[in-house]
Amino acid sequence: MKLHNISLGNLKRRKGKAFLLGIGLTVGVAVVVAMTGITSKMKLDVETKIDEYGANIIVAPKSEEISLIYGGVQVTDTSYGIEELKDSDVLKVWTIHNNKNISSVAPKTIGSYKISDISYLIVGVDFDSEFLIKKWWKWEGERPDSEYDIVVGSTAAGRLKLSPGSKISIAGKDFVVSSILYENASQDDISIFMNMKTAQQILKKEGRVSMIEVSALCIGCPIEEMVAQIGEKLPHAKVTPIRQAMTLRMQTVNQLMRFSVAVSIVVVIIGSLFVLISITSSVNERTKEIGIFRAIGFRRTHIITIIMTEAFVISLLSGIAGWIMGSLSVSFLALQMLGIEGIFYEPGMLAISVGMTLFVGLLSSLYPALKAAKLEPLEALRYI
Amino acid sequence: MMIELKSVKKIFNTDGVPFPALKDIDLILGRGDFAAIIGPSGSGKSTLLSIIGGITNPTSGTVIVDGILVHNLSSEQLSDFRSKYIGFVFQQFHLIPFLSALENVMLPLSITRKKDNEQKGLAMARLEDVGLKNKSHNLPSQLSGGEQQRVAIARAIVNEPPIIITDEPTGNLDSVTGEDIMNILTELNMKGHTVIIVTHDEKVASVTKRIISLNDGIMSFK
Repeated sequence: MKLHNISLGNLKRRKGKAFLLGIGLTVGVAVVVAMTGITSKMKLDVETKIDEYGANIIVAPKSEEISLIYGGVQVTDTSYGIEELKDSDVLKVWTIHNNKNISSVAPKTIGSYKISDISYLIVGVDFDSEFLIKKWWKWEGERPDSEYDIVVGSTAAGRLKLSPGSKISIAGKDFVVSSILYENASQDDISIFMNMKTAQQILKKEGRVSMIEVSALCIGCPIEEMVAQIGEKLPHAKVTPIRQAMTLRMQTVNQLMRFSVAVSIVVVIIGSLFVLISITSSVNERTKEIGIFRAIGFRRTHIITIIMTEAFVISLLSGIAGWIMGSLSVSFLALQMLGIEGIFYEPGMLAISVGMTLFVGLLSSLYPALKAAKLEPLEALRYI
Repeated sequence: MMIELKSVKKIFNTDGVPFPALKDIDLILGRGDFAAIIGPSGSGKSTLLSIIGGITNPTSGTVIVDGILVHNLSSEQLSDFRSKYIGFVFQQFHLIPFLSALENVMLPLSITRKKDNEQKGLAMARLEDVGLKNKSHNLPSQLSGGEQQRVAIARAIVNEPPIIITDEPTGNLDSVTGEDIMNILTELNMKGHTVIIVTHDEKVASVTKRIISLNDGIMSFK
């Protein structure tokens, strides 16, 4: 027989009270896990949507000319009086101090070209970085994998009567349509995307870049600093951050996260009080029992050990149960609110849940345990 | 000499009003003594018992048990003293309701370094001494009053304490069962334990070798 046998025996005897205390702690933990989980899912969702939104930073030549416009960038037919961007400028972007925050650098050489008397935008790209940055692109066909594969916007394809696999001749060169983009209500619809070197040849802009789209990895990255750093590397370029549209949404998410933290703190405080009151009530009911223990030679530390062991067992089980309940809640809420399927499974959160519950449970039980230990046997036995 | 009380006084303060429970008690009990402390309700019997048993310290005076200055011991030292020297048997048995008879007897051993098997062996032996070996797995609620008191006695002696202190051991039992209990206590005394019984029952006291009378906190001997 050890002291923990006494603790476990008492929990078995007072199943109802132990269960109520456990349920209280479990629900508290579940609320904290659920709030933390769902706000982090929302944060991730917003960050993902920012990625899907495309570039955070646009690098373009400083220009006053007005011509065809792509992504807010002025596409000019002449190079007179303008210092254009070069192929080597693309590499310079990767050398900034915060280059670890860069997700993708997608250069473009843009120009207009007439096919059957209708002007279309020819956009020379690096397809790998372009597909990375344009996550909202949906297409019919295959991704281009050769120098003469092209991707055509929906409006352009309709006018030119193109479909995946069609052949088209542009500036005396034969191209194969690898894919047709679905309509996305942007200039992509009237664009023909091709290998950059090929586009530069057709547009007679060898080695020149019309604009560079830069995508930063996350919301927390220092966009303004990165803009300044790119500007330093490319003093002849106009570097512009694009964040306004997502700022409000992130403010909302951040407010929600702060609210989530506040609610979690309140839940923890209420949980602590609940444990304190429950254990104190339990100790009061066991005054006689404690008197017997003390009379037969139990020290104060033995009494404290018995009560704290009971608190430990309840807290441990509640932490685990609360994590399970909270995780299932997150999975359900993520599906309902964000359309995200799948079970929320964060093993790290289990350690935090159990740690937090043990901390709250043991700390709140300390006062009643000390109070019980201070009971003098004669005083306790008077209850007999 | 086993137990010596000299000029022991105990004053309780109830809501600021002092109440002298014991007044100048002088008492010597030898090893192997079998004594009864008798007196009416409120005479200070239980208080005297609790001082001898190290449950509470006197307000003044000295308490020496087996050479130990019990009145000078701290709370934790008193716990250790009780564990080693005293076996208590209460009027209302006071078994732990969610522990079996065997586990109740093992209770004093749970704070020793004895291993589980050794604890079990000692507890079963004591249950056998009191004739309850076949009810070791019964809960207190499944035992009669007499059986519960026998378990309480087994619990009191499992640590082999030299002194057994009982407070109205037959108070809640019928006469036949009470006689059984007194026989067990007599046997324990014959084995060398010092047994002190607090009782208001003259018949119970007559079984003992010494009768100490207590009235309004003042002692006299019969």
